[in-house]
Amino acid sequence: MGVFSKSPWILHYDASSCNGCDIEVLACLTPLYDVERFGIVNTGNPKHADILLITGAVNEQNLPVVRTLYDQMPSPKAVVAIGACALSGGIFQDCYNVHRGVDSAIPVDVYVPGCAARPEAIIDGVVQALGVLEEKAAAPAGRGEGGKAVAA
Amino acid sequence: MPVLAFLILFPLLPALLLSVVSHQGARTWIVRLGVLALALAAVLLAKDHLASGPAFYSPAIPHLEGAIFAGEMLLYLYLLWRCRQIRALEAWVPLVLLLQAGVIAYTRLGLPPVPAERIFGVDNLSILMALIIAVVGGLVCAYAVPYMKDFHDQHPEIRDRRRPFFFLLFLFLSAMFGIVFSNHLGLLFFFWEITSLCCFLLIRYAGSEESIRNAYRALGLNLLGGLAFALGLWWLSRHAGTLDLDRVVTLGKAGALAALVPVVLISFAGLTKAAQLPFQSWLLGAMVAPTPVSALLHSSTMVKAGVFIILKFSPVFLAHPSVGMPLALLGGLTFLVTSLAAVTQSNAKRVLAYSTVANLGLVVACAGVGSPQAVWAALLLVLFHAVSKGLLFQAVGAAEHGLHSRDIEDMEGLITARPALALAMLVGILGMFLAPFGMLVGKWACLQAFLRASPLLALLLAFGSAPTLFFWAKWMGKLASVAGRPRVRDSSGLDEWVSMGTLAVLTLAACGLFPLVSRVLIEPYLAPAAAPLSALGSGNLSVLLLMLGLLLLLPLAFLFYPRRGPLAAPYLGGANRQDEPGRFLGSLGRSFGSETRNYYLANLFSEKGLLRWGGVLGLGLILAMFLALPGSAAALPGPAPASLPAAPRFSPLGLLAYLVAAPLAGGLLAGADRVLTARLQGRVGPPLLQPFWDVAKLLKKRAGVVNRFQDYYVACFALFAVLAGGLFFAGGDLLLVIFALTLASVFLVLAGYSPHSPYSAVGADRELLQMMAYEPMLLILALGAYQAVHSFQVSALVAAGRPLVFTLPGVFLGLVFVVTIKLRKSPFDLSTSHHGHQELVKGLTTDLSGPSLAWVEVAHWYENVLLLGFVYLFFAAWPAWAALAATALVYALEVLADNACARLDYRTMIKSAWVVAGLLGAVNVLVLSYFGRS
Repeated sequence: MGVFSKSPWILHYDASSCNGCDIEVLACLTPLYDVERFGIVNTGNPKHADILLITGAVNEQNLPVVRTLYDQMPSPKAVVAIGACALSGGIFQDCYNVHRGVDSAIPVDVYVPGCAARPEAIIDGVVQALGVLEEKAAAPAGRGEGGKAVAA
Repeated sequence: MPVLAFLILFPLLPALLLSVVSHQGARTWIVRLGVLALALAAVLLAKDHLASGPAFYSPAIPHLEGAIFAGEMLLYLYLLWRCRQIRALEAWVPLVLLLQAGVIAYTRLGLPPVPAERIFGVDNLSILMALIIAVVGGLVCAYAVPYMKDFHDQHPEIRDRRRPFFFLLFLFLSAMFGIVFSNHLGLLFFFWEITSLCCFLLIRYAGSEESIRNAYRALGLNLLGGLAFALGLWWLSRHAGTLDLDRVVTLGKAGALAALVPVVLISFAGLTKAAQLPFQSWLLGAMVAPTPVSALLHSSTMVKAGVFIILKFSPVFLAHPSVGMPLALLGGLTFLVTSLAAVTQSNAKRVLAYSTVANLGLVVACAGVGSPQAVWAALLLVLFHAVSKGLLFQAVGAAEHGLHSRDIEDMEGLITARPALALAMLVGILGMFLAPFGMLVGKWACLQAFLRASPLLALLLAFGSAPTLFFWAKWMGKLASVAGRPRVRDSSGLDEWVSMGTLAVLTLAACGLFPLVSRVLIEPYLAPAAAPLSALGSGNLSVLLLMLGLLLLLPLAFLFYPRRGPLAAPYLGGANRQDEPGRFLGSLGRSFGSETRNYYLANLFSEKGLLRWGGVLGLGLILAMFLALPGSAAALPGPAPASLPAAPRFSPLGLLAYLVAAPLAGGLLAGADRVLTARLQGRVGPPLLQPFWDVAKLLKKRAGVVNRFQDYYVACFALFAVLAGGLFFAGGDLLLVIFALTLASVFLVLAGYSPHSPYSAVGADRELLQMMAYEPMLLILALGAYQAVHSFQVSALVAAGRPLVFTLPGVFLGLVFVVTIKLRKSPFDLSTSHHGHQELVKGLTTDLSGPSLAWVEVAHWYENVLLLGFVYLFFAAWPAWAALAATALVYALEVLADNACARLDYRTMIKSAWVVAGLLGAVNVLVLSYFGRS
């Protein structure tokens, strides 16, 4: 294991989620799950983050924000889409303003299903993202950005 | 003697020529040649006299007394005629004028004439002043030629009176040379009054209502000083029978009231001219004049005449502390009050004006103390201040012509809009307040001199330094913020650039060459036994030079190894507009730019209130000076010359251990902090070594910077933080450690300002507020340590027999309080936090990423170890394990506080930190100094 899997810093973005998944993401930080045990820190800042956690079905309004946040994360980086909406648009997928899931905006590495996704599943998704991070770190600069989907 | 006469008389030639010539080209060349001649003459004078020492000249001038008298009366008549525009409330101005004329007439006509023995005198002080007047004053005149052309092009409504303007500038220089070379006080007084006249006429140049009112105020206050001067002359003629400056000083030292009274009266005149509290208002008002006038008044003439005469009397104050101490305290008070007042200002010229008054306050304080070391510090301050302030005024003037504003807020992004000008301004600002630059060396020497005289003075300096730091650094932040402004075409003329360039080079050179200046120019002036330079320690001087070298060489390194890769956009909550850099998409699809404004702390103190109370206290101190006169006739023995501190012993072992072990210890401490925090929250938390993994990862990230300056700032922050700690653990000078730490923090703040992101900028603002809060206490730590062991050397502190915590309990508690701020722990984690509880994303470090962030993190580790080193000092007398355990306990308590407290706002932080520093730290230091030392 390399350094990237020892210190995954996370950016969590709510792309028009109903807050169900967001609450589960935050639950991971509580004493019950305590993800800081694995060195995971919720940075809230794309420039510090390694892994982008996105909940919600990306709509017209926040599409550029998702792209900007992704662009502002320094490489290597991984994206974890969390919850049914983030995967496919979920129950909102036919709305006029909704894009069908995060991968319509940016490349997604790990998909965590659920409505809402369970904290255990989210943690598992992040752990899988660590492998992706290490892979990308090993790849030469500029390559290996996204594309490879790992189902959780 | 011929050179001396040349310096006084020659400026009149260009003055007269310029009063008839109005052709721009001819004017340019007359000024250039005139200035060149003056500068050469001043250098020649220095060369001739430095070897031979002080000399007096008494040329036989026929009817000298009569000529002076006639000149003075003409001057009064002219001024009286000028007073025809006064308002009812300004009636006191002609009244003071008439009184003064009366006193002079009575002295000259009613009393037997006093023979003048030594009319002119040259010593190293006057040579130093002459160099400043000729070079800095001359450069200002050269700058004025293109400036005034622009000025009239931009302000067609103002009548073009450039011919009298340039006449006055050169007359001013002539009068200043007259002041510094006159040994005959009657003659000196005549030149003194000419400077008041020039100043009055130059201030009212624009002819607006405001400028006329301010000119009268300046005239009135200076005439008030003149009245005191005239009374001094009267007293001297009547009681002392001499008007020779050197004789007056000798008599004054011996304690004769015949000389002491005039010394105090003339010093009062000096206080008005140097715009000390409560007379500062005229200098503030004087900035309505065109910028070259301000540059001239503040850097090389006028106010410098005020401190010059007070400095001349410093031996008297040394012999009579009962008179000197109120004067010194007045200077210290002025420094504190006007530094605070400068914080409240956004107008660049007003900030500069307050800073001038503050620095002159320091010089006055030094003169009041009068010890060789204090005078040494004062002369350095006068020199450095002249150069830096001349540069700053010129740069602000040049910026004003481009931006049409002198507001500091409007100078945002100058570093990309007008890089050369911003650089000149930055050099000037650096010269004013940071190690290793000139003014700070002066302040350092001041602090040492004050401690030997009166710890109260040193405390005033400690508290005054924090606002100084604050207002300069926030200005630097504005300049350094890369706001994406388009480049502005430089409209400054050649002479303006030559002038600013020379001063910028002088500012930088002065801090490298000041030991030389000190040895050649200043030390021969002081008592033979004094060795103020070695009091700073030669090892410390090398450290200063090292710092200077690093600052100058690092940019080159970045020039030759430019960072590859594209630039990143600043963080704007992800809503950046792709097509418009630096702007974001807001509500209703509109595009917004982000703006930040500086803090002016208006809710903590107001300019008005400060000046009112400062003025009252200042008046009280002036009164105390007069009241002390009768008692001081019996000469008190001066304080025994303090023994020189032992040569600093640098221990390379400590340095090496720090360089290697500090990051390990710092990383472990950070890990322990996270584990302890997690346990306090009922969690398990990360492994102890987590911080090392974090840094290792950050170093491997491929991150971009927002602009090319960021890396330079981060590198400087890391370097100077390490340097500060290294010095500390090598057993170096505690003050120098604190200065280096301050320098490092200023660079971190610049790194926060430079991306022009609202998150980083607010973080940087708050970091500055934090610095303002903790800075006094850090300096008090050094003062307290000095009181305890009579040395600033860390090695001496460690060797103290008794734990400092028992000698300095108040300082210890105060330190623990500010270490909370410095460690960025709740309730004071305003600027950024190592944990998740920060509403500003990551505050100060928001726009740093990857390796840059890693270096900041490692530098923090170094810094934290240094801070705990401060704490360790207090237990150093115990066995190492006990001292370490005590230090660890303090750290654990800080972590506990971090988890147990909610964050406080900045007002509470500053107030509480200052109150703690005052109540615990300052009282501890005072008690220690007045009731015996351990």
